Order: sequence, then C-alpha cells, then structure tokens
Amino acid sequence: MRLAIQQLTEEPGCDHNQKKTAEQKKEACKKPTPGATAGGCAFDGAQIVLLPVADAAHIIHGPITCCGQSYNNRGTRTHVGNLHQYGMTTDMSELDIVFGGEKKLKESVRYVAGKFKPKAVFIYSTCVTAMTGEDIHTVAKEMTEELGLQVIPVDSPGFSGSKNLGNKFAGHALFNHVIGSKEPENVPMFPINLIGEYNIAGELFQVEPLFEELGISLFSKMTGNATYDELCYAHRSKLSVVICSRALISLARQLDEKYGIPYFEGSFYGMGETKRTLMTIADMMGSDLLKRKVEELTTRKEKETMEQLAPYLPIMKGKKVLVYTGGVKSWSILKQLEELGMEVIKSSTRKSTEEDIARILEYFEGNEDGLMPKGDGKTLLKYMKEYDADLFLAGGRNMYNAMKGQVPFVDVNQERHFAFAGYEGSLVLAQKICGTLTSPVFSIVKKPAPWEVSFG
Amino acid sequence: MVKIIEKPLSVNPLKKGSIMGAITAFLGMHKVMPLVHGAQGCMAFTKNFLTQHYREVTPMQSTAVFDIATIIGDDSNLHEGIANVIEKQKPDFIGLVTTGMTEVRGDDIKGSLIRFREKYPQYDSTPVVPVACPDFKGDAETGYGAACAATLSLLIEPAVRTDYRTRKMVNILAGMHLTAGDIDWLKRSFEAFGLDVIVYPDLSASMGGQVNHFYGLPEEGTSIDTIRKMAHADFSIVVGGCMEASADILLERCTVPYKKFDTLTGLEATDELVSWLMDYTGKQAPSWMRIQRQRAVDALLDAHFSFSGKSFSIAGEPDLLYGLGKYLTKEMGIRLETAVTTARHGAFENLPAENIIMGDLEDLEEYSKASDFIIANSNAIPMCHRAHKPIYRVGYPVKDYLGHFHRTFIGYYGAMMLAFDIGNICMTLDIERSGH
Repeated sequence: MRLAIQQLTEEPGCDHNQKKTAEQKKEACKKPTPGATAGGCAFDGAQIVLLPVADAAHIIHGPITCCGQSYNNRGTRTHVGNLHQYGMTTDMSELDIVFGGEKKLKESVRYVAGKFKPKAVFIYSTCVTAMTGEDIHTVAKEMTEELGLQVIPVDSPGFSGSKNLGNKFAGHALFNHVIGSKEPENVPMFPINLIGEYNIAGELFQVEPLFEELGISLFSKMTGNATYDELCYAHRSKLSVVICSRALISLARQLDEKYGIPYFEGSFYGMGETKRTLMTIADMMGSDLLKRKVEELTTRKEKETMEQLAPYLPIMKGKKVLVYTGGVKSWSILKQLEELGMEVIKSSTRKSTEEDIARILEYFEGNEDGLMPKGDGKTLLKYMKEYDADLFLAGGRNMYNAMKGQVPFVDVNQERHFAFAGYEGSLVLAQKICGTLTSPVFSIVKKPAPWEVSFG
Repeated sequence: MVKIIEKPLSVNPLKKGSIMGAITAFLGMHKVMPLVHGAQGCMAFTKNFLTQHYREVTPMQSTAVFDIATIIGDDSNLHEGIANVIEKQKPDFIGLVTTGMTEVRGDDIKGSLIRFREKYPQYDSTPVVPVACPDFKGDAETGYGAACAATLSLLIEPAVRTDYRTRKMVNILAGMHLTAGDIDWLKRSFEAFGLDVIVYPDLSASMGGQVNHFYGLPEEGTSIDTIRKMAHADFSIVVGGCMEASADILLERCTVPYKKFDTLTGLEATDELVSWLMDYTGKQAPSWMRIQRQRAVDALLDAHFSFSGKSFSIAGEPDLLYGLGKYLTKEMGIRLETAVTTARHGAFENLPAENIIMGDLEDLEEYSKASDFIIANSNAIPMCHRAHKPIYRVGYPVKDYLGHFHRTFIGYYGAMMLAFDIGNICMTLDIERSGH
C-alpha cells in the first residue's frame, strides 16, 4: 500500500514531478493546509474515475460518511446501467471495527453479485478500513475465484491525499486489475482510448457523433458511458487521448510502456480545441484520409455553430469574466470563452501544472496579473468588484458565493446539469452565459428596500 | 417490534454520518466555524451535501489529516487547523467535530486541546467545543444532539441572574427535523403569548437565506452570548428527542425545567403545545392562531375523501419520521406500511406501522410494494421512479426542490399545508386511477 502511494506520487509523465529533486519527489503532491482547505480526498477522486462504470457495482468498505453523504450525486450520464446511482457500503459499526470487517465485505460482495448481477465489483478501502489493516486485496482475489466475477480492489483511503491522487489510485486499479484481462472479439479500424472523460451532464454524447462521422471508434472510454468490458479491452487501442486530467497521465504512460499505445492530451472545450484534438488523432493515426475528413467536418461544424451562435454573440461581446476552475479546464475554457468574444480578466491556477500555467500566461500575453493561485469566496468576490467583471464562471461550490455577491454565474463543475463540450456544448455554454447575463433578477435584487431609501 | 433486515451491507443508505448532523447544528449558531478533524473528504462531502440541500454558503473547515505521521497520531494537524481558523476567520468559537478515523486512532482530544492552550495562549479567548462523532456509531440526529449538548456544556455556567425581566424567557431546543418555516412559526407563536424566546440552534438565519451578503462564518443564528443567556431562562421546550440531552444539561446545571414534545406536527400535537402556552402564560391564543386552526380543520375535512384507503411508507431519522408518521396515520387515517429509520431514540417505536425497520432505502423499496406513495429524502427518487410511485420530499438531503427549507410542517399552519400536500398526492392518484 505504502509502496503503491510512493510509486504514484513519483510520476515521471507528470511535469509537476520532472522539476522536483529526488527528495521532493518522495513527498506526495502539495499538502493541504489544515484549517484552510477545500476539495475532496483520495477516495472521492477514485470514485470520480470509476463510478461512471454503471454495469459494475461499487462497494465502499468503511463507516457511513464516505457513502452516506456522497452517493447519488455525480453528474455522470450513462446508457449502460444504473449501478452508479446506488450507494453500497459495508457501513462499519464499532463491532465490525473491533472484530474485523473482511467477512462482512465478502458477504457484501456475494449479496451484491446475487442481487444486482453486475459485470464486476469494485471494492474501495477508506480511512478507517485502511487504518485497521483490512486486506481488500485478498478478499478481492478470493471472491473473484469463488464467484467467477471480477472483484477489483481499489486502495483509496482519504488520508493518503487529495482528489488528484485518488484519480491515480483508480488508474492504478484499472491498469493492474482490469485492462488486458479480456480480449475483444474484433478490433475496429481506428480504435482509441478516451481517458478522463466522465460524461458529466452528457458531454460525451455531445462529441460522440463527431467520432462516429469520422469513423474513429471510442473503443475504450475511461470511463464516461463505459461498459466494464470495454475497459478490459483498452490494451487493444491504437491511441490514448487524455482529456482534462493530469492525474490520469500516469495511466496513459503505463499503457504506452506496456502496450506501446502512444498518448496525447486533448480537450473538447471550444471549437479550436475540438479541432486540434481531432486533428492530432488523425495525425497520430497516420491517415491522410482521416485528416481530410477532420478538416471537412470541423469546417462545416464551425460554420453551423457560428450561425447558431449569432444571436448570442452581441450579448457576450467584450464582457469580462472571472474564471475559477481547476487544472486543464482553466486554459481550455479560456479559449472557449475567447471564441465567444468574451474577455477573461483572471483565471485560477490551482491544480494547474507548469504547462497549464504557461498556456494561461500565453492567453494573458505574459501578464501575470491574470493568474490567480487560490482564492476563497470573499477574495473572488473582491476581484469581481475590483475588475468590474460581468460574469463569474466556477464550480458549484462557488455558486452560492456568487449569489451572495449578486453576480451572474455559470457552473462548470461536476454536479451541473448542462454539458459544454464540442460544438453543441459551445452553444449551450453561450445560452447559459446569456441567460444569467440578461436576467432581470440582478437589477431587481439590487434595488434598495423601502426603508433603505433616504428622503430629502 | 423494530426489525433489522439481515444483510451484510447498506444499499442506498438512509443514514448520514453523525458529523453531518453536528455541522448542521453549528450552522445554526452565530460566527462559529465547524472544524472537522479528519481527512479532508469527510468535510468536503458534507459541505457539498449541505450546500446543495440549503442552497446557501455553508462555512466549514477540515484539519486535513494527511500524511503517515499524522495517521500514527501526533496532534500537529489539529493544532495548526485550529490556529489557522482563528487567525483567518476570527470565529466567536470553534465546533471541533471528530470523525471515524480520529476516533479509531483514539485521539485524546481533551488532552490535545490542553496542549494547544499551552502552545498558543494568544488564542485563549476563542472557545473550542469538541464533539465526538465516530461515524460508525449513531446517525445525523445523534451528531446534531451531541453538538448542541457539547456546546452548552462548555459555554454555560450556573449563575445567579442579575438582569430584571418583565417577560418570561423560554429556550426552544430545536430538533434537526425543523425547517426555517417551522422555526418562524414557533417564534411567532411564543412571542404572541408574551414570551421572549431563544431558539437553539437557529437554522432559519444563514441557512434560511436571510443573510444577503457574503459570509465566511454563519451569521444571525444563536450567538455565544445568547447561548450563555439560556442558563437564565425560565423554561425550556424540547422539540424532538435528539435535543433532550441539551435540556438535561440546562436542568441539571442551571435548574431550568423543561417540557419535551416528541413532535409538533399535526393538530393534536399543536393543541398540546398551545394548551401548554395558555397554561404557562395565562393568556389566550391570538386570533391569527385561531384562524390557522380553523383552516387546518377545514383542510383535513376537505382532503379526507382522498386519504381513505391509501397507504404510504416513510424513511427518515427518528424525530422526523415520528411526527409525520403520527399525523398521517392517527389524524389523516392513512395506512403506514413501512417506516425505515436510522437510530433508536425518540418515540417512533409507537407508530402503527406494519414494519418498522432499522435500515436503508433498499429496505424501503423492498417493503413498500403496497404503498401508494413514499415520503423520504431526494435519494429515494430513483427508487420511486423504478416503482412508479409519487414521492413527498422530507429530511436530508432535498436537492432537487427549491424552497423545501421554507415549507412548514409543524403548528396549525403546517398541519394545513401537509393536509393539502398529502391530499393532493392522494387526489391525483384517485384521478389517474379513475381513468382520466
């Protein structure tokens, strides 16, 4: 377990780590500050990656909080099953902790296998069960043999680190226990792995038609709208596209090392990025025909989208936006907003790598004022005022901060109900932005109450 | 007889960890920072959960117990966390909530707090209230009750009252099942009888949306000074079993007598409260209250045609479950098939249910086959879709419905609104079934 954590935090493909000294590398990614922290734990991160697999069951081995306060709350959409909506937990009691919960976990796997007939069962360790030394690996091995059903152990105690580390844990579990465990019957022409796309609010559904039209097969989607079986086949793909997830670069690198599958980082936020991503795929597949098709498709789609955007563009033109979102999204969304004619005044750099930051800086033409390392609600609202910004674009946690500040807001986080990917997504984003920008609510709520009006 | 369904795991849990209840209690207090001592996920999940439920800013922090050294158990994270919160947020006090992990580790919180005081004497003026919340024991209401009791036991002192009062003062110890709408009704009613009231904790403030500016700490709930004044009250009213421990502390330490109401939902329960108010104050009920009662009576009469022959199942924490279960069965005459709950306190065992189960929403799904509708939190929505049954949302969380926290479920007004809401569900079923 300890060893696994060390390995994962010494990721050579992560440029975060390339610049670190040997000593620094032994430290996990940046530690949270007690009493001034935000964001989830490693267990949360592991579930973000694996829970979209809806024909597999997910059993959380621990006391109630890990499941009771979190289930049925992910924005992922799927057509392959409904097990992602179920919260399943061993709900450890005091007695279970004293006498050990491995027996209970085994019985739980049997119960779930019998009742829900899943394609596989993921079992997650949490803080308490990791501390008391529950051996989920042996349980998984024994249950796999007993039931003839793949049971996959996921080491994910929350105390081991942040959400990002948890993403890596999930990637680790997929690489070690899932990928390559089954062989597909046939492999299509251009099979790719899509890594780090979780079909939040249906974003995958927005880009899937593009791939269909190009004849590129989303052979193994990790993990939005994925079946368990297709995850097993990932080793037969020709290329991995890592979407918005630095944390899963390690998985792509491992696939490259073991199976010789090359990878690159792509994004579907904005028309420019969508085109670049599709073009890179065609390029790496080495097919000129595919390249021509991408050129044709993207030109047509861009034209169509611009026509559809026409009524919205004048509303957004020159409006100032404050962007507060993490990682890769921080720069790809900037480009998307730029396409819509908006001006970003500041963007967050939290969870961003040096490379991400370089891209954000490029947007701000080298002006470091545009970078915003970390901010609480109060600071963000202060910036809104200071820069006279028109729109606040951030995750759901900031939604009510924005409402307290009475500023227009668009949610770009994982519990949202609207998808912003590809061409269709740009239109939806424009509609949401215009909806909040033109709402009469903001002027009416700013009117003073009758008793606040001074006479004379 | 309370049943426990034999199965090894919980599927679609009804139960929430006690930290969720403890944090909720603190959100009803003025300028307190709930600080969760555990890995950051415990706080992050709970924050997400409560933010979506209330649709409000929900301040809370975590000690972010992280690396291996801390797992083995030194208290640097705890001390650093408390110091950072005091330095940055300047709260009136801190609600320190432990988690399953720190409880398993066996942290000596009291000892650690003594060492904190020695190390950081400059923060002496900020009280820190420790609440033990192992999530392998108890449920959200347990945690809520524990946080309220712990706060009282640290902050109040037996003291002779020095101020002169012309009006009597009553503490309302408000259970976790009460909404902002409920709290408003209580305040208005008690004030109408010439009583000064302290509602503790008061979730109707920040979580009720009455603070229109950004806040880093919950505002306008029960303040530390007000909490101290509770020691001098003439009487305490307990609403819900989970608040009884708080009433006991006030009784034993400050000789404040109390009366407990297991619920104030329904006509009968409200009559009992109003009778008490009349006896206690010697005053008559105000006219608005009489009108509300007349309307509640009329609503029950109008709706009763659809009630008969219907059955329902309900899931919720004990206090929440008892009030609704009692009103719907004993006063509306709707058959209760199954009641699922999470802990053994309060009066729910008296409900005339065919099944009373300590369990989860899978049990509710399994044992509600004959029910016409379901009463539960919004996690039961997928289950209701599968069974094609209407759901009436109550409890925590309610994520997909605006204004839930402003609905009123108690008093004459609540009795009327519930008669309408439940009546509408039943009437819609009648219309659908008659072939329209």
